[in-house]
Amino acid sequence: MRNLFSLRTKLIVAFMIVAALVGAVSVYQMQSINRFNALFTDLIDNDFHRLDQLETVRFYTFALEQQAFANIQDMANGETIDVAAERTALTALLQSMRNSENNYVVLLHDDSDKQNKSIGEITAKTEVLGALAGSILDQKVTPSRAELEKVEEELKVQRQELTQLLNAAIVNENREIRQEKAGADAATTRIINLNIVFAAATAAFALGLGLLVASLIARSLNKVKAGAERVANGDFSRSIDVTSHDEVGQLAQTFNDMAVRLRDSYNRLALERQRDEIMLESMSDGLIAINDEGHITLVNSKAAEMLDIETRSTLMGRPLDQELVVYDKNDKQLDPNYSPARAALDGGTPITDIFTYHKQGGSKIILNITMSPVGLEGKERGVIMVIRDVTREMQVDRMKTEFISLASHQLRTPLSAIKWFTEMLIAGDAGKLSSEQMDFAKNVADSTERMIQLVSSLLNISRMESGRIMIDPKPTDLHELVSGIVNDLKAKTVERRQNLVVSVHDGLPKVSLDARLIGQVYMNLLTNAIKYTPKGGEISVFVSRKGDELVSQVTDNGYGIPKAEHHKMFQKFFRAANVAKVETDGTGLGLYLIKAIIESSGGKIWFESEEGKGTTFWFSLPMSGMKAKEGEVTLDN
Amino acid sequence: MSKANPTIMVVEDETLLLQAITKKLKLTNLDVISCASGQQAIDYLGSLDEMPDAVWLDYYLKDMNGLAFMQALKEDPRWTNIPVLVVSNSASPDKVHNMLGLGAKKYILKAEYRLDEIIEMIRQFIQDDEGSGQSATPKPPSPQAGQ
Repeated sequence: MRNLFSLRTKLIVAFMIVAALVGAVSVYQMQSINRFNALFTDLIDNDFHRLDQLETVRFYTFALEQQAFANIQDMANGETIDVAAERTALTALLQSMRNSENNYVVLLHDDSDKQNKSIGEITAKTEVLGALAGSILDQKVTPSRAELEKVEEELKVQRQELTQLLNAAIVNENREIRQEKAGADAATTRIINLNIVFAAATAAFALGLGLLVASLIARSLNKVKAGAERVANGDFSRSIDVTSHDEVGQLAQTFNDMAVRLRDSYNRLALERQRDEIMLESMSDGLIAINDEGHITLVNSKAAEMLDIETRSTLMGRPLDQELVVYDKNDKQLDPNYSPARAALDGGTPITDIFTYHKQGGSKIILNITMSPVGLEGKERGVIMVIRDVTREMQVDRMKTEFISLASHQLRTPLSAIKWFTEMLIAGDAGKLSSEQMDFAKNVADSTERMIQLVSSLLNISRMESGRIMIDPKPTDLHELVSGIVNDLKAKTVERRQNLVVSVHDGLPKVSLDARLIGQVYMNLLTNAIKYTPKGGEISVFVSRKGDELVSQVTDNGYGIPKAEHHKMFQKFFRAANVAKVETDGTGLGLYLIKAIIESSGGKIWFESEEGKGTTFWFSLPMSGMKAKEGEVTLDN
Repeated sequence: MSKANPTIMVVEDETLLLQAITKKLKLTNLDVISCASGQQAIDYLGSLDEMPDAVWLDYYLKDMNGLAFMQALKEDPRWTNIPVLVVSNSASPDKVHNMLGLGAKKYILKAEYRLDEIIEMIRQFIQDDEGSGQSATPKPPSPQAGQ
C-alpha cells in the first residue's frame, strides 16, 4: 500500500485544491457568461425584433396614406381607378401591418402592461386608418371633392395619431433596449472584474500553497543536510529531527541509522588503531614504513631506540636514503644504484638482507631488515621494514663457527697423532704384535677413524647451518661425476663382492652443479648402499631427466629401513636400529648433510624401503642448475 | 739426480706428530730434518749446503703461518724450487688457493691420510721433480659416515 503521507500525495492534494478553486471560478464565469448570453439573446430576439415590427408598421402607415392620397387625387381628377387592384393592394398593406402588430404582441413575452396598452391602441388605430382608406374605394358613386377633402383630412389626422402612437412605442422600445444594453455592459464589467479578482486570488493561492509545500519540504531537507554536515565533521551527538512519514522523513530516518553505524565504525576503528599503536610500540623489532617515494611515514619506538633517533617526528616525510645510512654486511658502501626497498616494491615480494649501521657513539650494529611491499594494486603503495638487531646473533654465530673450526682443528691434532701411531703400530714399525695386540690396535684404529669422520661431519654441518658454504656451480657431466665416485668406491665394492651398476641417461646435457657438493651426495648414498647391503648384493645408480628436473636413483637390495623409523631418517645422529647393531661405523649425519645440500640447491630427496628387502633413494635437482652462492668455506673432505 | 736417501724437511710444531712423522720417514729410508717452528726451518735452510728434496709443512706454526713461510722460501732462489707438501688440519678454499698460488705442490688434511699415503705422495713429488710436473688437484670426496 502506498504511503498515504508521501510527498506525492501532498503535492497532489495541493494541486487538487488549486484545481478546485480554478474550477469554481470557471463555473462562476460560465454562469456569468450564460447570463450575459441570455440578455443578449433577449435583446436580439425580442427587443430589436419588436422595434423592427413597429418601424415596419410605421413604414406601411406612410405607404397606406400615400396610396390613399393617390386614390383620392385620382378620384378628384376624375380618373378611373382599378378598384379591385387597389383594394387588393390596400388589403395587402393592411395585412402586413396587422402581421407586424401581431408579431409585436407575440414578442411581448413578459407582460408589460404599458406596452400591451400601447399596442392595443396602435392596433385599433390601424383598423381605423384602414377602414378610412378603404372607404374611398367602397363608394359606388364617385365622391365629391368636398367629401374627398374631408376623407383626406381625416386620413391625415388618423395617420398622424397612429404615427404618434408608433413613435411613442418606438421610443419606449429604444429606451428599453438602452436599459438592457446598459445592464449588459454592467454585467460585462462585473464579470471582467470578478475574473481578475479570482485569477489573482487563485494565482496568489497557488503560489502561496506551492511556497508552503516547497518550504516545508526544504525545511526538512535542510535538517537532513545539517545532519549530514554534522556527521561529515565527526559530530555524532544529535540525530536529525524529521518525523514526517513521507520520503523526506524516511530519508532522515535512514540517515540517522547510517550515522549510528558510522559512529560505531569510527569507535571500532579508533579502538583498533589504539591496539595497533600498542602493538607497534611494544614490538621487540623495529618497524619503519615508507611510501612509494621512499619517504618515511612511520617509525616505531623500538626502531628509534635501535637507530639512536631522538625525535621520531623529525623523520616523517623525509627520504629514507638520506636519513638512515646503512652499509652492507661487511661494512662496505652499498651500491648506490641498488635500493633493496625499491626492489621489494617493484618486485612485489619481500626482500631480506643484512646491513651494518653506525650508531652515534661510533659503535656498529648489524641489522637484519625484511622489506615487504604493501598496497601493490592501488594507492598507499609503500614498504614496511622490520628491523632486527642481530649483532649479538652474528657475534654468537661467528664465535660458534670459530669455536667449531678451532675445536675441529684442536680435535684433529690428537686424532692425527693417534691415527699415525696406531698405523705404525699395526705396520709393525715398533715390533711385531701378537694377534691379540694386533686386534686391539685395529680396534683403536677403527674408532679413531670414526672419530675423525665425526669431526668432519660436525664441521660440515656447522658450516651448512651457518650458511657459509659456498656454491660454485659449473657445467657438469653427470656421467663423469658419478663414474668418478663409483671408481673411488671400487675397492669397497670389490672387497664386498657387490655388483654396482651405473646407468646415466644418454644425451643428458651438462647441468650447472657444484661438483664437490653433489659429489658428496652421491658418495654418501653409495657409501650407505654399500655399507648396508650384505656381501654379494646388488647396487644400482640411475640418472635421468624428468621434465625440468634431473632425477638420480640409488637402489640396493640390502637390509632396508623399518617402517617405524622412516620419518626419522634425516634427523641428525639418527641410525636405524636394524643396522646400528650390524654396522657400528656410522655417525648418523650423512643423510642430514646431503638433505641440506639438496634442498639448498632447489631439489628434493625421498626414499622407499622395506626391511629385509632393500632401499631406494631418489633425489631431484632442477635442470636449470644450482644457484651460485658466495661463501667462506666448502665442505670438508 | 737421485741421492741414496732423499732428505725431507718436516716443519711441524706438535711434538707428538713430529715424532710420528720423523719415525715413519726414517723407516722408509728417508733422511729427515725436523723443525719445530718456521724460524727454525728457515735458519736451517740458510745453513745447509744441500737443499732438502722436499718440505713437509704444517700450516699453523707457533711463530708464523704457512703463507709467511712460503713467502720466506721465495726470498732465496735456492729454496723456491723445493717441492712443498702442506699437511694441515684445517683447509679452507682460501688457504688452499693461496698456498698453491705461492708454489705449494699440494695441500692435504692430516686426519684423512695415513702416513704411508703421505710419504708416497712425497716420493712422487721428488720423482716428478726430476722430470717436472706439478699436481695441485684437491682430493675427491672421501667416504663420509652415513646413516
